[in-house]
Order: sequence, then C-alpha cells, then structure tokens
Amino acid sequence: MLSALKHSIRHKLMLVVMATTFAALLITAIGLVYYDLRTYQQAWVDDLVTQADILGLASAPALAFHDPKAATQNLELLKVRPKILAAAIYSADGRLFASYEREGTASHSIPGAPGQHGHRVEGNHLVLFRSIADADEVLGTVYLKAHYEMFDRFINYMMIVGGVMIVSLLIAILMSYWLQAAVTKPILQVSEVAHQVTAKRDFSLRVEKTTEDELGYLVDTFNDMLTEVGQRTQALEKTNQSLEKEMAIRHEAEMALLAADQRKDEFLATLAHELRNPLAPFRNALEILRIQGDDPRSSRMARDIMERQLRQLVRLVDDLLDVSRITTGKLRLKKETTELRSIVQSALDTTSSFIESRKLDLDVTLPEGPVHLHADATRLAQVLVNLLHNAAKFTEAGGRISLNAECREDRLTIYVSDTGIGIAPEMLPVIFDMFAQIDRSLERPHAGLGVGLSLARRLVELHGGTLTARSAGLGQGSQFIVDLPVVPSPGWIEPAVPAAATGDAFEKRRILLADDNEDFIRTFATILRSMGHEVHLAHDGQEALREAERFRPEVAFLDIGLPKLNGYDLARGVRSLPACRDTLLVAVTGWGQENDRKLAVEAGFDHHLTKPIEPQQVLPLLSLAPRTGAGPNGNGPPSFPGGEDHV
Amino acid sequence: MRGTVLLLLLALLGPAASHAHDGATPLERSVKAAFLYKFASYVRWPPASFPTSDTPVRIGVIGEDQLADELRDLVAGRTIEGRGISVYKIEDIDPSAGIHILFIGREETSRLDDLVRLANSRSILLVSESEDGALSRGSAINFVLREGRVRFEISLPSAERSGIELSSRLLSVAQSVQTETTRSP
Repeated sequence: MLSALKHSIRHKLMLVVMATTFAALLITAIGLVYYDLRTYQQAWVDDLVTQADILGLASAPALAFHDPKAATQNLELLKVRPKILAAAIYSADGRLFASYEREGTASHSIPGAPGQHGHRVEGNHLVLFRSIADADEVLGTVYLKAHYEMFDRFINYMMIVGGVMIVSLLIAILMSYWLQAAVTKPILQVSEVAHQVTAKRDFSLRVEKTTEDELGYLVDTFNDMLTEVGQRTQALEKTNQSLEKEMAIRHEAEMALLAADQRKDEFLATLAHELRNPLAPFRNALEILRIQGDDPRSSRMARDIMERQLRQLVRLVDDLLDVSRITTGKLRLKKETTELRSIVQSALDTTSSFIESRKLDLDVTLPEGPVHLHADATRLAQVLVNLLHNAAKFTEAGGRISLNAECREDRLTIYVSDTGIGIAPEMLPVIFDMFAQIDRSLERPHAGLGVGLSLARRLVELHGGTLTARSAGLGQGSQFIVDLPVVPSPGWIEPAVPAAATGDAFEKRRILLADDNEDFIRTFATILRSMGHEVHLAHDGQEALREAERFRPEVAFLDIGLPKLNGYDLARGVRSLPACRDTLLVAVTGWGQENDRKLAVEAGFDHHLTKPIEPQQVLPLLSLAPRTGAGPNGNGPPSFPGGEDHV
Repeated sequence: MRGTVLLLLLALLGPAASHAHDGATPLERSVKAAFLYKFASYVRWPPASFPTSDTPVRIGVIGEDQLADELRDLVAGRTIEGRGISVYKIEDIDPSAGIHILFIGREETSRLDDLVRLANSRSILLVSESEDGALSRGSAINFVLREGRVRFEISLPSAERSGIELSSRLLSVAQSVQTETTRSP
C-alpha cells in the first residue's frame, strides 16, 4: 500500500481525499456525540432530580405523619415512567420508609440505607439520592434508579457515524476518481509521453491539452520543451552525420597516405636493392682488372661488365629524376617534328644488347613510308626503351618480342608484345601506378623500381596519347599499346640524329680535362687516350687556365665546381686567350639546373654535360670541334641521345 | 436534632399505644404533640388570623398539660413560614387570646360543642382525641389509634365552617376524610 502510494499520484489524491473526509467526519462525530451525550446526561439527571423533588414534596406529609402507605402510593405513580426501574423513600433516620420496583424487570436491590446524595452512574443505570425537605427541616431521602441509556445511545451514534462514514468515503472515492480525471489524467499523459519519448527518441510526440488551468500550462510547456529538444537533437544529429562523413573522408585520406607511404617504403627498399645490385659486378670487374689487368681478354670482359652495370645505374637514376620532374610538374617536352623510324631506331640501339643477352627474338614491323610526329623524340624513344626493356625482362630465354606499328589516318598505334609471364587480370589496372610491383618480395627474380611503366604512360599522355596494357592472363604473354596522334602534313624533315659514335671520321684532338675528382679525370683521360687523343689534365681552375694557355686545346671539358677558380670564371679566362677563342668548351656538372645551363652559356661554354659522362656522349662532340686553330666556332645546336639535360 | 428525636418517638410509638383507652401513654402524647406542630404547615388561616407579619402561630392545649409541656419543648426555636410558635395551656376559653390551633384533651371532650362555636367564629383549627364522633360534632381533626398507631381523621365541613383551608397533602395522609355534614351542631 505504502509503496503503491509512492508511485501513484492517483493513490495519493485518493488518500488525501479519504483522509480529509475521515478526519473531518471523525472530529465532527466526536464533538457531536460528546455534546449530545453530555446534554442527554444533564437532561436525564435534571429530569430525575425533578422527579425526586416531586416525589419528595408529595411524600413529605407521609413522612411527617408517618404514613408509609401514602408514600408507597406516591411511589406507585412512577409506573407512568417506564425508565424508572426502582424507587424508595427513607425516613430522616435512614430507615427504608417506602419502596417501589417496576414490574416485569429484574429485581433491583434497593439499598437498605440512603447513600451519598447526588447522582451517579452504575453500569447501565443512573442512581439518584435526593433529600426531602419541608420548610427547613429534612424529612428523609428519595432514591431513584433509572435506565441510563448512555451506552445504547453511544452505540447508536457509533452506528450512525459508521454509516455516514461509509457513505462519505464512498463519495470521497468517487470524488477522487473525478479528481483523477481532472488532475492526474493530464499528469499521467505527460508522464506517459515522457516515457515514450525516452524509449523511442521520437520528439514528434505531443501531449493532448485537455484543461486550461495550471496543468494545461504544464502540458503546453512540456510540448514546447519537446519541440525545442527535438530541434536540438536534430541539429546535433546533423552535426554528427557531417562529422562522421568528414571522419570517413579523413580516414580514407589517411588510408591512402598510409598506402602511399607503404609504397614509398617499398620503393626505397627496392631502390636501395637496385642501386646496390650493379655494384657487386663492378667490384668483381675491378678485381679482375687488378689481378689480370695485363690479359687483354680479361680486361675487355671486365670493361664490358662495368659498362653494362654503369649504364643500368645511370638508367635507374635517370628514371628517378624523370619521375621526380613529372611529380613536381617540371618536366617539359621539347617537341619538334620527328620521324617514327629514327625514334624506333634509337630505342632499339639502346635495348638490343639487353634483348640479345636475354636470348630473345625481336621482330620489328613499321609502316611503309615515313610517319611524322610532333613529339620529343628522346622521350618517345625512352617510352619504347622502357616497354622493350620490360618485355625482355619478363620473357624467358627463347621467347619472342615484337614491336609493331600501325598508322591509321591521324593515329599511330605501336604494339609491344611478348610471350612472357603475362599479367593477372586483377593486376592490369594497377601496373601503371607509381612504384607498383607485382611481386613485392625483395628476392623476386625480376628486379625494377616500378617506375618504368608509370613514367612511360605519363610521357605518352604528355604527347596527347594513351598507353594501355593487355594480357590473356598469367603465362599468356602481354601486350602494351601506345596510341599517338600523327602530324598529317609533314614539313621539313630533320635528318636523323647521328646514330652513335662510329669513329669513322676519327681525328686526333687536343683535349683538356679539368676536374678535382681524381678517379673520374683519370678514367676519362684513359678512355680518351685509348682513342688516340692527346689529353692534358688539370685539378683546379688556375692550373687549368695555365694549361690551356700552354697546351691550346681544341676541346676542353671543364668542371664547374673547381677549386681556386670556378668553372665559369675559368671558361671566360680560357675564352679570352687568343689561342683558345675557338676551343669547344664543354661544361661538366653534377647539377642539372636551368640556372647552371644559362650561366654556362653566358660564361662562354658551347655545351653542357651532366655527370656521369659516357664515351658515347663525348665522341660526337669531338667531331664537332673546329680544326686546330682554324675556322670559326661552329656553334650549331647538336643533339645527343641520353645524357644532355633538357630541363 | 429535635426532629430526629421526634421521629424517633414516632417510631417507638407502636408498642406503647396499646393502652390508649386507659389514658394516653407518654409516647402517644409525644406523637400527638408532634402532629399538632406539623398540622400548622398544612393549614391556611384567613388573613385576619395573622394581623402582622411576625404574629406567631399560637397553639392552645386544653385538658392535657403534659402534652402542652412536651409541645412547648418541641417547638422551641422552630418556625413555620417565618413565624414563631407559641404554646398555651388553656383553662378557660379566652376569646381574645388569638389561638390558631386548639387541642382538646380527651378529658375535656364534653366542652367540645362550646369550643366549636368559638372556633367557627375565630377561625381556630379544632383538634380532638375522641372516640365517639367528635368530627360530626364540629371538630376538624380527630386523633385515632389504628393498629397501635396514632392516625387522624379529618372533617372538611368542620374546617370550612371555621374558615380554614386544609392542604390536600394533609388529606392524603389522613385515616379518613369526611366531606359531608352528617349532623348539624
């Protein structure tokens, strides 16, 4: 009951109404009953006293003249008072004078002598002793014993009060139900809706307003509050959603960064591996030269080894530089009208030795007649070199490689196909990604940086073409397709760039080498002397200048970073010598910046080379040098395959 | 205290009253004296009988000196409605004495007729103790012995003739009440 009260306003209201009703009724009933019983008792006592006085007055003569009979007759008159059960008259000396007992009632023992005057209650009876006086003389005492109905009355009253209470409490219960409808129903509705809102998080719920009193105001306020909370929750959810979206985007970006980072790590590992690989044969070759330097066959073999490995290294670094330039947007094409055949020839020149070493058949098919392109021939050659090199690398000995070009209207399509290991279908989309490696283990048989294909595709795209790959699957060989636009009406055709050094038009030259790198300058000098040229060496700028004045070289390879006198100042100094006005000055630097190139031209250099320098780069230059001390300086724009910096 | 003594006498009356005919016993005499005193309370005289407000109630006794003495002792210090009580022994009828109640002893019953005449003219309550028709001769109240107890008879006509009213309460305790005249005096 008490616990129910704690949880229900309805029960509390009912209890309040009932308790109030009960308390009011009880207090009223107690007051009324008390008043009534008091009045009743007073009236009854007064009545009896009067009766006793009448009896006394009537019986005074009987007492005075000693006539019990008359007194008894007087007492007999009490028959008309049914509530008086017994009566007696005592003489002045206390003896019983006359007595009366109501017939039909239980025997009432009449006291033998008068008791204390006054009235008293004995159980259900009221007893009264009253003295009889005549004039100022006491004649005797009257005794009356009557029904005293206080208890009966009390019982009756209690029954009435009980009945009234039951009826009143029933009314109270009805009233409390009415109150519940009027008061608790709105509150219960608010409570119910609040519960539902909490459970379902549905802020569109509203409490129906049924009254205009304070409860109605409460309902209105509650509804307004729901609206407010709903709006705020919605706003919060929106914010959360956008935050989640942002988080997802950031997560994606982070994952992409992580993947790129991983690819970079793998690339670095690969790079180190690839850079390290040629060094072992290099060391072996040097060892051979040291032990069997006198044996021409061994020396030749060692030189071949070192040459191959060095070329591999240079190619790696060149690729890296190109990747870097493409990534930073610094790569610029040097486009001019060129012919397909010369580009293919250049690429084959570079790769044929590797293809032969792999013992592969190469089949080249070109369209009839010239095909003209507006392109950077060197870069396109580089693309083909990459594709051919790739094909050779992934094809087992005895396989076949084909380069097939077709020209349709304004498009040129070059197919580089092989019978190699092929490409799994799921790998086709990613092989052009930077640093992509199909086999990611360091111990893989087919080494590479994973930049070749990516670089090739970017170069083709810079030419406005596309590079795609096809493969029927692993083991089914693969095919790379270069699609390029063609120049419809060719203008002047530049003759093919001198193809490699032939040494046919050999002439003995006086050559000055100035460089502080002792190893480089000695090996370079050895190569040039072996060709029959006269070579002088200088290890710093001032020495070089003195040597130039004395030696009067036809060709001078000057390092820019020379001690004592830098390359630019040295060049001006050399150029100012009368004997060296026409000397072919070639700047040799480790940097490929455009600034260096400009400075070099301003300082009077004719050409610019970046280290490392290969004999193939040098030989054509030697043929361009003017005859000894005669003729003007032929300052034409020569073009070299590879080495020259086009940045 | 005196009342108590009186009632005690009344209570002791029973056995002593058996010798009434041979002359009153002391107890009987005492009871009668007490009754005489009490009658005064139940009687109303004409206003002329009490000229002043302090006129005492006078009770005369003829032929019974002992009773007179007892009565005198009994009423000493008592009052009736504020009036004192005087008791006189009367040898001869003195018309000017202003008696209110006159008791005629048994020995003087012969004088009753004269006294009735006096009583009627002076509004005197006559009380006798005769056995042979005192009421019919004109006495208002007559003592009798019944079952050894002193009782009294009343004659309303006799009282009326004297101009005296008797209380109905007194009538209620009388042995008998004559309401009609049986014989003219």
